[in-house]
Amino acid sequence: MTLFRLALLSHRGGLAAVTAIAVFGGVANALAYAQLAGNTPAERAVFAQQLELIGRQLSYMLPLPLELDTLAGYLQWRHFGAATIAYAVWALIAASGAGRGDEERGLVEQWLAAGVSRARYLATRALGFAVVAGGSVLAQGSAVLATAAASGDPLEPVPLLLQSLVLGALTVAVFGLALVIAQVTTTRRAAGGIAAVAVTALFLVNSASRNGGLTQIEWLSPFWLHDRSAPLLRAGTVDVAATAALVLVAAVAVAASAWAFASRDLGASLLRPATSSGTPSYRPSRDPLLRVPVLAGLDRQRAWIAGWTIGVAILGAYLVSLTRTMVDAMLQIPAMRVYFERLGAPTYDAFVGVIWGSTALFIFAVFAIIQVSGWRPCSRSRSHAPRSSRSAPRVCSSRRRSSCSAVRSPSRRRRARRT
Amino acid sequence: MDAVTTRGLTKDYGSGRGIFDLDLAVREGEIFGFLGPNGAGKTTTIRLLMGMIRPTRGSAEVLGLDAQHDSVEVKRRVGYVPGELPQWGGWRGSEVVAYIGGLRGGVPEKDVSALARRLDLDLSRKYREYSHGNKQKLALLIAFMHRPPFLILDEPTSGLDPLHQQAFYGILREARAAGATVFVSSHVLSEVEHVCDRVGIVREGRLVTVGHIGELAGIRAHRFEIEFADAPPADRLRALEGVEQLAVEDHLATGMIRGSIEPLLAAIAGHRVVALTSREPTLEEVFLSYYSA
Repeated sequence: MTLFRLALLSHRGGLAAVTAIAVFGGVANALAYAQLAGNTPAERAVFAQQLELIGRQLSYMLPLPLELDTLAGYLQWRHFGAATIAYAVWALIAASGAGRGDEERGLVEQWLAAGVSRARYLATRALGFAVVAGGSVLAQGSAVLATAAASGDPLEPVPLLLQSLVLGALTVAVFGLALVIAQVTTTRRAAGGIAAVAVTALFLVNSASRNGGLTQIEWLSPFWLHDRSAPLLRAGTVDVAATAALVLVAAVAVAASAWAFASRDLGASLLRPATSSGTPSYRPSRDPLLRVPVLAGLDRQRAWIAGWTIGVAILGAYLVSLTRTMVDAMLQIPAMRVYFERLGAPTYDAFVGVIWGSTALFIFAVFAIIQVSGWRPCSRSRSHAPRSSRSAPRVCSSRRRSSCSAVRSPSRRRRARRT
Repeated sequence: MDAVTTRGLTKDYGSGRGIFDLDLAVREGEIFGFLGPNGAGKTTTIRLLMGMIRPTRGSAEVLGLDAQHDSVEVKRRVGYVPGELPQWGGWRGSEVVAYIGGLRGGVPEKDVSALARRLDLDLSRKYREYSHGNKQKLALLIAFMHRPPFLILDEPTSGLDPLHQQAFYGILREARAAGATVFVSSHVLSEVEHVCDRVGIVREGRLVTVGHIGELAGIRAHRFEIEFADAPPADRLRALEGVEQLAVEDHLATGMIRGSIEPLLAAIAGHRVVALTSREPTLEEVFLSYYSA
């Protein structure tokens, strides 16, 4: 029970943040619908038609918009579609913390030394996360239900509950996948970064599937399994098999993580590098970049930066290649063709700007969050101390780190120029 | 019965790092000191015994249990101070103790309080506010609070001031008197002299020697300081077998001689000696001579 309480405690920060975001999103969307869509069926039909045009452009990120003339349909598309991203990000951050963060801080060694088995440790952390994730999705569902009732457009509680549970199933599935990835890395930052790339890839498989691409492998994506259910729609149901598959993915992933954890050294990766037979060195590194503050930060993370750059380039190429398929599909709809003609811009070029520009903004934001969240553990582990002990003030250290991130992240530079 | 038995225990990290072919037996009820400089393989050995890492080959038994296959049961019976202190962040000392106590179960609160008082550790403060010494005290408290039959302590006095080192030695002796076995790693030889029954010296991943403190003292040399009335017989002193670290300056000759002191006395016979002092080298000097060999 103590370990379970620990598991719950360790997720309290993420629980509070994500629940606040989800509740705010749910309440804001429910209130906004009443303001934007109007009150009569005719007004709502017009609103739905207009918004579906815009919604189809966002289909690489959100589900295809359906039944936007009802609050339930609007929430299914706008609120729950966006909530999957927030909960997935939380799940991968929580899993990298459970799988690596506490190990880096030496806490796991303490738990194990107290007679806790490795399998029990990971299973309890996963169970703890499942409980807090369940609590969070139910809390946001309750907030949406109450807001809808207060705004005079009540929702059926059972479909809302089912949709919340499907969202919870997706969250624990992503947690499980990220937990597996944490076993083959050695740091929390690497675990979070690689898990972010993997989860983004799975998300994009589903995005492609919505527009007729990658249908052969769509079932690999937990987001695709999640999108099989749409209980808030008039004829919508919960796809029991797909939801069960999400839970199964979570269970298998946690079991695989427990096996991997039991098979590796504490603090090491499951994939051990070959032992080297190098001779010891007693000289400081001759790498000149390490002597220049900003470049030193970049140099130390060169492998990570190279991987990140290649990954983003592949992602960009993939999304741009997806554009033609999506635009062609949308141009089949007469209303969409009119809409694009009124825009006046070259359709394909404009759409590339929309789809890649906004996605790049999102992934660079995630990148910045992962970078900055890594500073705090560094400070805790005292790797910050040598920098702070030099004559330069601490603010310089933060500036240097910001500079490193900005060099790696063009979007940050653009935002900095704007401000 | 031996509390610890290792057979060919090896953890090879490559580049000669790790511990190799360790054959060791620690007897029940003794305090065993595991000595070696940084990087000698002390912490690796301890982590192998605790089942935190897996051996490349060989095996280890702790309290009759396999350190790998029965590692959970081993850990339940062991009090452990890790080489690297955990980062509890904003937890209070009392919370850390309560959680670890909750995981272990059956930890009497009065024992915790008594230990905290002896170590002068304020449990109401947050971990991040603790000094390094206080963090070490908390690690010691966690290791001793459940009265384990076996203690594995990795450099336990690191960061403790001399006063609290003495308090720790007292706790250690009491644990031994109560029947506990202790495996303590250190590179502080004075603390080994204070508390250990037997000592194993490890160097570059290999066990160099194991023996009683007294036996190690027997293989020691004699440190001497001779003040002559005239010039010292430097050539005769240098020619002596077993003489190390000889320094001759003006009328003074200092050095260390291994084995019997008789050849030294014979060598200076016929010279006017103003003063002669000879003392047993400390274990530290014995230890250093192992590594300079």
